[in-house]
Amino acid sequence: MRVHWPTVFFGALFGFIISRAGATSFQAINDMFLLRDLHLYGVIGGAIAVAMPGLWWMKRQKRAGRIKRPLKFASRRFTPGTLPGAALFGLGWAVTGTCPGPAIVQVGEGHLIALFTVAGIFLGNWLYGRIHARAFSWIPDICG
Amino acid sequence: LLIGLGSFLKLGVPGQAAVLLLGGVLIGAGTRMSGGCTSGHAITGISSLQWPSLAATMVFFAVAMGLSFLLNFWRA
Repeated sequence: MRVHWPTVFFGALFGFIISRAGATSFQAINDMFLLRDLHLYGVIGGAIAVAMPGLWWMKRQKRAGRIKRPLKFASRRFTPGTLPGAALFGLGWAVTGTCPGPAIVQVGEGHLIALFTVAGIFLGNWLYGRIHARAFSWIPDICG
Repeated sequence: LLIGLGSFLKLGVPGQAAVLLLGGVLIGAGTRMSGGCTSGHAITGISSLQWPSLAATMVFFAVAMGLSFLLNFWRA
C-alpha cells in the first residue's frame, strides 16, 4: 500500500487543530448549543471563511496538488433524507458532544471511552444502510 | 473523562459508554441519511455554496440546540 503523505499530514493537522480549538470537549460543545460560550461558532465560521476562497480558487485553477485535470465538485442534491438525517445527526451530536471527526480525535487524546462513540457511528452507518435498502427507493446523497 | 452526556448526568462508566454508543448510532445513521456531517455539510458544503448543505446545517444546529436546552431545563 502506498502512503499518501499529504493526506497523513493534513489529517494530523486537522486532528491537532480540532483538539486545540476545544472541539473535543463535551462541555465546550454543550456550552455552544446553550449559547454560553460562542467560541466554537467562531471556529466553524473561521473554517468556512478559509475554505470558501480556497475551494473557489481550487475550482478556478482546475487542479489541486498533483491532480492536473479539472476538479469536479459534486453538487449536493436535496434528497428525502437530507433534513430528517440532519435531525438524527443533531440528536446524536447533542447527546455525545462530538461529530465523526472529533470522536476519533478524542480517542487520540487518550479518552478511550470515545471508542464507544466511534463504534456507534460505524454501527449506525451500517444499520442505516441495511434499513435504507429495505425501506426506501430514493438514492442517498454522497457523504462528503 | 468528561465526555458525553453521561458524565453530565453523573452516570457510571457503563452508563456513559451506553449513552455514547447510542448517540454514535444516531450520528452514523443521520450522517448517512443526510449525506454529510459538520465537516461535510457545514464546513465544505456551505463554503462551496451548496444550498442543501446550508439547510441541513440549520436543521442539525436547531435540533441539537433544542435538545440541549430541553435537557438543561430538565436537569436544573
